[in-house]
Amino acid sequence: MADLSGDDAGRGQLLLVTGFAIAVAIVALVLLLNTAIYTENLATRSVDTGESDALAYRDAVERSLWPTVSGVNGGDDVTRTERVRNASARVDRVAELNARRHLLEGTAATITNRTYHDGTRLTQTDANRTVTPAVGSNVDWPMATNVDDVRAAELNVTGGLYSTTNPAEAFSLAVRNDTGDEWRVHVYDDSGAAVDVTYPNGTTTGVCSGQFSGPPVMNLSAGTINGSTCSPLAFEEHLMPPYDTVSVRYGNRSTATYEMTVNTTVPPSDTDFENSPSATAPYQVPVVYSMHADVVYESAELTYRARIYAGPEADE
Amino acid sequence: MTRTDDRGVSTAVNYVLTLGITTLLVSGLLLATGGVVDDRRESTTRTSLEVVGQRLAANLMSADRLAETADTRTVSLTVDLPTRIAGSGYTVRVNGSSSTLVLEADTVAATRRVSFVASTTVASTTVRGGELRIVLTPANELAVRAA
Repeated sequence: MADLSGDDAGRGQLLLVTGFAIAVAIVALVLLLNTAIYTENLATRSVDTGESDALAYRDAVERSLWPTVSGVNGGDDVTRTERVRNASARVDRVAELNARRHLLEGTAATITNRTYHDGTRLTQTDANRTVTPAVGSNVDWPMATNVDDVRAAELNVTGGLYSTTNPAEAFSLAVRNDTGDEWRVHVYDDSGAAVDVTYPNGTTTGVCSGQFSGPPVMNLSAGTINGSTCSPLAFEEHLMPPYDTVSVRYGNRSTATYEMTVNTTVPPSDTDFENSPSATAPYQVPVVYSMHADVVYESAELTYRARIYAGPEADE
Repeated sequence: MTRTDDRGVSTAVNYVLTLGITTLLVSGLLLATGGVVDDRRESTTRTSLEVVGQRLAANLMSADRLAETADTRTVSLTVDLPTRIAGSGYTVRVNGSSSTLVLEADTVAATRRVSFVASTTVASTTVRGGELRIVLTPANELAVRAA
């Protein structure tokens, strides 16, 4: 051991200081080693912050929301308030079912800030009735205005067709968009049922005659006639939304049943449609047309909120 | 008889020599040790900055993935990074135009550059290392902020 008081005192103090300095250096190296180990640990940690789970939640809600909510639109004798209440309960259920897996991981996943868009289903079920308003004798009349969108439009012509070779004199149903372009389908008797379509504003003509037999049953959303495709009938393919008016011309020159859902609540006239289901007159029923809601996913590290649309087609 | 008075000289010479050589060796040892410590510190700091930068870049890209979904209203992602690396604070410079993060230690000459890929615009900014938050701003930009 170094002698710190005798003749070798100087050398002993030098060794002591040296030992001390080396000890400090060793401690510094140990601390650096600790940093290196921590860095290695940090490098091997997962960087998953839960964004995949958040996107999976959004995707699951988006896929399941409209199929679930649209179920409230069944039945005719339901008020708008009841429809929205039922829709809200169904959204709660969708939110709860999809959130369950995430709740177990301490994450809150919810559907908030819901906005339900009101729609109206217009229906006539009397096959012997002309396409005229419930009250009055108008033959040229607007079924709906400011509709914004139309879906599930079906027209089943049952008879009473006007014999002519000029489609302009026949029964026709038209959809007009906000820019004034018009798509129109004429149904008449030209040695048998004939169906002609004009769009936009009569510059193009599509003919479905010869592609069907028997009374024409037309799906104007899918573009089919008696189950066969007649693409001019699909008005959505030929007319850019948003739409404005659905109207009828010479409604007295055909008998028909029809059903369509429009994205509006206000009928042009209070007397055009009965406000409750009727077997003899056209009537209107309130429906939930579509909805918007916020999907919220909150974990300790991540907050994600996005506005989603739930409806029969893509949001526009 | 002449008596030479040099009996104490060898002791003194021996003492001086011993002390001198010891001092020389000890100085060399301390310089070498100090150099090693500094060298290791720089190396460790650089590696740590690289790892921290990679983590931040990964989280930035995660936030971008969320931000680019339709109608996204809020994205807020907390990134827990160390406040000090090898005893030194550091800054993170986010360069949105070149899509790079530049991490620079305060007391050690160590800088690291890490690239990221993002579809959403990333705001250029400089923040101190530590707990950070990546947010989607009303201008639809991703911004890195102190938590």
